[in-house]
Amino acid sequence: MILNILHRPDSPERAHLFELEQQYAHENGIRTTILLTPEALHDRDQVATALRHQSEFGDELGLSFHGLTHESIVDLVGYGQEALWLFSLDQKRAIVSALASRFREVIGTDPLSVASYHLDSSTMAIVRELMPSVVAAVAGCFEEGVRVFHGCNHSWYLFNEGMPWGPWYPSKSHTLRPARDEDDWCGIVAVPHLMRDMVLSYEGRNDFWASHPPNVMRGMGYEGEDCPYDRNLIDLFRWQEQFNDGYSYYNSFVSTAWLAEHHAIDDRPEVAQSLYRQQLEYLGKLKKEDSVNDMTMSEFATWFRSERRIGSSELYFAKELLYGSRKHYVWYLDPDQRLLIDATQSGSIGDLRPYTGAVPVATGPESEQLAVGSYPFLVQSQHRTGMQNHFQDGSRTTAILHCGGLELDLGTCPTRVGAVTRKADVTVATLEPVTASLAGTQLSITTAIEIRSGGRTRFRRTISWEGTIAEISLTERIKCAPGTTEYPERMDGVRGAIMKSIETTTDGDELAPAESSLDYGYRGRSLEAESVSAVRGEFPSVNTAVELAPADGQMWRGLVEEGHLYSPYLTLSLTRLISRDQESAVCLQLSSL
Amino acid sequence: MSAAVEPVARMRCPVCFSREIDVLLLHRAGRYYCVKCSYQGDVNEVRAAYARIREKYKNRTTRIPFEQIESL
Ligand SMILES: [Zn+2]
Repeated sequence: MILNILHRPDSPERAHLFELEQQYAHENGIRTTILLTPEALHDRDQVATALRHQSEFGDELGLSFHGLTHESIVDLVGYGQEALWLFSLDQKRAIVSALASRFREVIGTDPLSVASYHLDSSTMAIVRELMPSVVAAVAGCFEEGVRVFHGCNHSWYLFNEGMPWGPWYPSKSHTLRPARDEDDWCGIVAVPHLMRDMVLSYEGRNDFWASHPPNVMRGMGYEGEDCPYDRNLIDLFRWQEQFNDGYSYYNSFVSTAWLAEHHAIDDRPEVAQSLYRQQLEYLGKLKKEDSVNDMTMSEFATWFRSERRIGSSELYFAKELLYGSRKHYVWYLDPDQRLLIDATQSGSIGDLRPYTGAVPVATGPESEQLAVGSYPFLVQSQHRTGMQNHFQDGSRTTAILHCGGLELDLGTCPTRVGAVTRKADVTVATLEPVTASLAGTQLSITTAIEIRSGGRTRFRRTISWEGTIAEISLTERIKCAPGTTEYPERMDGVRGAIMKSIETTTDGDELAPAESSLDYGYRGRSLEAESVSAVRGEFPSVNTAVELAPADGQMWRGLVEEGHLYSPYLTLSLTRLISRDQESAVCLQLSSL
Repeated sequence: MSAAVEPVARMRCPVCFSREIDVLLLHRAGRYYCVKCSYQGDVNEVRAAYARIREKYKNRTTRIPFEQIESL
């Protein structure tokens, strides 16, 4: 596993904590990347320390776009802000330019790496233009958004949901979307700000459960001065190597403020310091065992360029660590989609980001999105109900079985991931068979989900049972709602359609598939047809069409359901009868409009 | 008006925290109270509430060896 340890010196009053962090890293044989804030760049002592550590230990010196309340920034643009993403474009340009000059003046070189919790496409372009030396950037916080906004009492305006969990090649038009190819790439290798718990960051706040010991203290996931969770999370990331050609990446970025008295930690600073030291001791031990390879950010960018092709897929097999729930999720990502498979709901997709649509987003005061830099979703079961609560269910995929007038929603059938296989052209997650009772018959259901590039996901299921029942009705379904937050967004322009099978004329010529469609109007209408070739939804706000199509050569009945204001979704369903042990398959296909 | 109300750093409201919201408790005459919800208590009650919050993290003191991740 490759490791980046990032430190951010800021206020001279906390210089001793910066030195303490550096000491912890060096004592354990780990080199760091020191990302200097404007405050630190104007503090002669901290600059001297950074330069000494650069020559003595091989640490890298870069620039942090945080702590922009320093008087040098106020003098430049008229006021200060905590972070770069909050300024207008002309102010960003002036600040980046001034910081580049200051860095060169006191460090003597140009920075190779920079850091910001959020680096939207317009700011990234400014960095590329004014700091061409930069090859690596901390450019986003995985799944930071709605939960953290709430959690900070609705005061933390940083929305970075829908991004890669590991290093990526940001596209030019949306930093959080992985680039398709060299032309689409912004030119900088990005890493996330911290590695996140891939279960708990989806289910709750990402800033409790991360590669950051004081964050875990914030979440109260420790006891006394002991936090085995910190080391469990490191090992779970190491364990991912088997799914990504032997590659895994980890970083930690604890700023000095977290080792001092902190408003979000109800404990002594010495405990935060101890837990951070313990984390680095464990990483140092892994380095000695050759299980971890520490690099600076720019070294990592070079490694990434040579070893990870633009357009590669990434997989994370997430296992729950803290509650002991034994829950499993599988995350998959490539330039066409990011999707989350929830084994506890028998393989429901709980989150789907249709990168195929390549929606351009720039944030900032003059942008339409303001601070919301998330890549929009088509399915998000945490923000949009998911499994039914009191009324209807919300956005998710599921399969529903009918027999003898009774219904079984596979979302209520918890199972675990039995195996994940990764091949060049296909990734397969096979779930452990789940047993359930329906109309007095014991069923055993096996689900396999196959994911291919091009935004294609195939659900294969086999249902076995004992007894006299000849056939069971199976419905495969996706319920979509485009958006970025938990509140519904206007469905203007959304269209649902049923595509009938291709008809052939008496001359053998193929006619275009017959189609019936409806334009979304919150009127609860539906379209239904026998033997369809696909059910389709079009979502202009994410520039994406979704098709659910038979993939087993069988006849499926199609249903498209428009929602209403109390259920603002578009639902696409396919239904057919299946017999015992017969395999069914449907394909979910994303494409741009 | 008395100016005896002072924010207490590093003590978050346990009720708001259970909703995953960080709200600092305010302090008056030995009692802590929340401005976002109706919680109030003394320092021992706040600490006891934190201990109860931690209980749901059943693995908070459990080291899971690398070799056991496969079967986790
Ligand atoms: Zn409260």
